[in-house]
Amino acid sequence: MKSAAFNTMMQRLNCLLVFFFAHTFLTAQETTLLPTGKPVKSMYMVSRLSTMPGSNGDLVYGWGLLHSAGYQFNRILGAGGGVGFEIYGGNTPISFPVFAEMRTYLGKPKKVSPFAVWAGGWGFVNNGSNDGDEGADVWKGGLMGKFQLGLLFGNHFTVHSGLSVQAMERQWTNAWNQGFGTDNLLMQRLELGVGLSW
Amino acid sequence: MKIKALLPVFVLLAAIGMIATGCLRDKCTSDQTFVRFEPIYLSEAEMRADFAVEAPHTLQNTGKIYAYGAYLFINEQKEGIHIIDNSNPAEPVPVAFWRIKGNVDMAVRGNILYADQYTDLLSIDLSDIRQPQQVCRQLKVFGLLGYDIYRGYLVDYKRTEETMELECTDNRVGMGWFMEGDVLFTSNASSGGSTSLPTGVGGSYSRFGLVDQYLYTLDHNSMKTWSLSNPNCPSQLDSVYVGWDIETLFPWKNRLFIGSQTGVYIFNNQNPQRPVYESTFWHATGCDPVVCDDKYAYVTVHDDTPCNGNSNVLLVVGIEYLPATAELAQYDMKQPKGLSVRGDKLYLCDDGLKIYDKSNPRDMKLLAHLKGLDTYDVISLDADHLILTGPGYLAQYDVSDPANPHEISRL
Repeated sequence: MKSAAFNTMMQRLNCLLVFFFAHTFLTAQETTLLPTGKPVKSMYMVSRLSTMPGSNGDLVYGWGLLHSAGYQFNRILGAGGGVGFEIYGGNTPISFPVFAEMRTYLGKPKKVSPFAVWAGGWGFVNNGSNDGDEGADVWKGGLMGKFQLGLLFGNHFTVHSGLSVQAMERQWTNAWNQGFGTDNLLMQRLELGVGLSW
Repeated sequence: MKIKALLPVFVLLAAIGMIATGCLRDKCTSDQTFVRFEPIYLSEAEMRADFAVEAPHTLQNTGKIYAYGAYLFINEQKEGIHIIDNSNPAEPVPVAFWRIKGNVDMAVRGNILYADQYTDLLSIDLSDIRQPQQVCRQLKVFGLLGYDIYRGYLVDYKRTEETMELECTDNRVGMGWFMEGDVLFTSNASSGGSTSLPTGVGGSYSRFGLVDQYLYTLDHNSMKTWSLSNPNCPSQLDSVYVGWDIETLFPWKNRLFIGSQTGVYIFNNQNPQRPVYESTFWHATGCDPVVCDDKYAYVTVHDDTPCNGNSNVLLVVGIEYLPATAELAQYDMKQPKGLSVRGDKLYLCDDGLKIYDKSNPRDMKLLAHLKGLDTYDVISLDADHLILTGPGYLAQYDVSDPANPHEISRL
């Protein structure tokens, strides 16, 4: 069930990604400079801080800080990887995503340039959370994915919006009745944030 | 693109996203394994099916064991009794299988075998062991689990494990138990082990006990006293409430030691017709066979299903100054089960078979440890001869050298 829901979400993200790649490819024009002011075929670094509201029955707010680095082959295609940490709230442990990403700028360099990012990887989790009245929990991380649309203001400042998914597993035991089970969680969150690109 | 054109698009996207948050719910499913107890109903005719002699069967879900002369009686859980000719312990020979549906416990005195059949107590004449005869049936001696006017007598529950995928918000997640119709689900699936509960003569799991002309039987919460003045057909003398979840009965001299999941009840049996409560030794929750010698009781507490609890220990309890009891020593174990004492030796089923020198019960010395055996109960027939039971097998050991026990046969 977990993988089915996750796959559905990833398929939707991929469709969006394909659309934007196609749109960008069709409208792209050769240029020697990227919207960041750097030349094509150059390294890039991005840090972004996001809030991730969502619902687990109650409204929950998460947030995360990610940093990524990569190589921008041209305006359309940049590839890299990143790390960071994310807190999804709702008694879940902190996730430490390690991911690969692709980055594209949707149009010629302007004062305000739209961009899109697709990221996928694995969220590692710490193991320090439990429900209090139950026995020790064992948390395991899982696949994570993101799709972001953003605006680059000038050469460095960004704002973005997108979708974020993160799978986790919790193996729990109940000290009172010796029950045990495995919870499969899939966090599906809206993502809004700001960042710096250089 | 101009900023004025881009900003509304971005704001629109963000707004759509925020609205979509209502759809962006975290998902959570929980895979939880329950033990499923499905009730088994029988008609009165099925419940009281006649005792029958059949050709030998293979040991499968063995239960309690009784030694009777050169014969061993091995209970097949809820099915009947295997009869084994043990004249030569090195080569035991299956002789017959006695079909007694619902049988779990037994005891032998003289030429009469007393065996339960669901709610009834049967007397079987063994004078000619190849042609046993049922000579008496006492009706409704043991507690009935239930009765349904359409389906009949509730005699047992079929135990299986079932893994369900539930929404995390489902009330059943984390529940200790719940019912679906008349099927009971419990969360206690920690062991996944067999449901066999073996025992034997002098064995630590027995629920039947014989003292002189009296038979004592346990059901879920009470002990009944039977006079065997007419050995063919016992007559009930007394019934006394003991406590919930009583499990084992070990007669020792003028005392009856009754193991429960939370402690050991000690009854004074000086008047064997009317045992009276004398003392209780409480311990952590768990299954707890108990055996004794003159000064000490030896209690194993283990956490196997369906015993609950999480202790795995061997306790030594001082009983010299009853009704006062005192825990004198505690030994950590892996998952101790049946045990037996003879002389200065203690035989214990824990991670195989362990043999201790109990000359000093406060500091017992491990003499031998046979690993790689799935053992339930051990019975010391004499100083040199052990019977060991496990799932679907019975093994006999020569323990004349307790530091080097060796198997002499396996069935």
